[in-house]
Amino acid sequence: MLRTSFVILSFFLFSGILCAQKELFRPMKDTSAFRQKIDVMAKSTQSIESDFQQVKELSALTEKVTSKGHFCFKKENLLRWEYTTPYKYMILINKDKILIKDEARITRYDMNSNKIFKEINDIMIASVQGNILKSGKFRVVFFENEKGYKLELYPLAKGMKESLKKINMYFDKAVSSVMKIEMEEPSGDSTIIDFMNKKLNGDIPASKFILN
Amino acid sequence: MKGKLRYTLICIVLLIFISGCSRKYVAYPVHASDVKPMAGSGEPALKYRASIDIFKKHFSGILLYKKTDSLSSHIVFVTELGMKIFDFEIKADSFRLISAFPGFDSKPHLIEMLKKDLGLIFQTSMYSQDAEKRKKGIKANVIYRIPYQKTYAYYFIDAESKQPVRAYEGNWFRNKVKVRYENYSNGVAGGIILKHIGLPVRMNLTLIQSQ
Repeated sequence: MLRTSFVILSFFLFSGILCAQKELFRPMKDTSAFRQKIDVMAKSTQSIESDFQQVKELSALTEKVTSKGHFCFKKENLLRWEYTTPYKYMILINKDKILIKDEARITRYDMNSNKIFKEINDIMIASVQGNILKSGKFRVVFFENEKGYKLELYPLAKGMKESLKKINMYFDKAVSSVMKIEMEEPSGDSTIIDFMNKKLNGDIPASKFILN
Repeated sequence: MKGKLRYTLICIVLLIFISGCSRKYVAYPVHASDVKPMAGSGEPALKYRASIDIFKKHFSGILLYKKTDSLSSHIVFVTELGMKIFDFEIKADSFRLISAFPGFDSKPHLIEMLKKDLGLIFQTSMYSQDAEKRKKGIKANVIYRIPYQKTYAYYFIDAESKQPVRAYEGNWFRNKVKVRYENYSNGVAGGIILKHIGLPVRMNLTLIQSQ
């Protein structure tokens, strides 16, 4: 009995160590090669379509809020970010116009008249496309492991630092698109977005981005 | 002379009316056996889809209410994109702002209004020692009057389910804020609507079923 328990315990401990090693990132050796890959990715990406899962972790409450949805991105500056669960909610960015559809309520904003929306738009577009490195708004630290790359982005602006500690962005080894984004807040809360069922450079009808 | 007599008569009628009203309530500390606690055991958190309109500002997102230990609970509001707008900690009936989205914390009147409204919705003063019970309820409701801020909170509790069906804050001649609880399921209100009388302030909460 004791021996069986020991074997099971050892198995779990060992598999835990293996998993931890897989996730372990080390400082990136060749950052210029990585930057080139990012440039190629940003230039070659005309459109992205993907499902996503967003998990908001509230540290003080030890509680998670999980949302799921679908997003479409098309060059230049067209983004449809749509939540389907726990309820329907959509953000549509078409150049400098933002539309938010919340059930029957539709609200329109002009990006240039709203600083917060401009900031959100810039980060969202740059994140899904991967060209956030060029924004000049973050100090970037580069990491890699056998499976892919991780970037840690630390905000430079004082205002942004108040609400955002850092952003972690994960890429696969081929650097074809962003796989996962983690946003850490100074309070210890975080938002993790995983992208699944990705389709690159597919044909996305223009009607998806029309602000009706 | 005639005017004086009329004035005296009005005063007497008013006095009888006021004294009659004041006798309708008797001291009655409310217990969990009288009114079911809103958060229950606290696991998991109650999650509501929230639509909040305060004057010309509109906020939408998810409002969480969670009992974190036997004495305290939290009310947290996050937007759909995951931005935390505010986090209040409630101990007994006192609210403390733990964090607020930059810019939001610079509006003290907004914070005060939210504290008061959320406290009314989530019945933070319900189990006060200074609570009173109305001698006769209305229809099938038991009515509790609880000192709340500088006025009173009135809760209409369904006598059978022991859950609030509506509440208001104000005094006996003027309601300032009204709350309606509806669509109870497993002891939790499926919908909560709060309205300020005479002010463009409104909250609509719809329960999000566990995922």
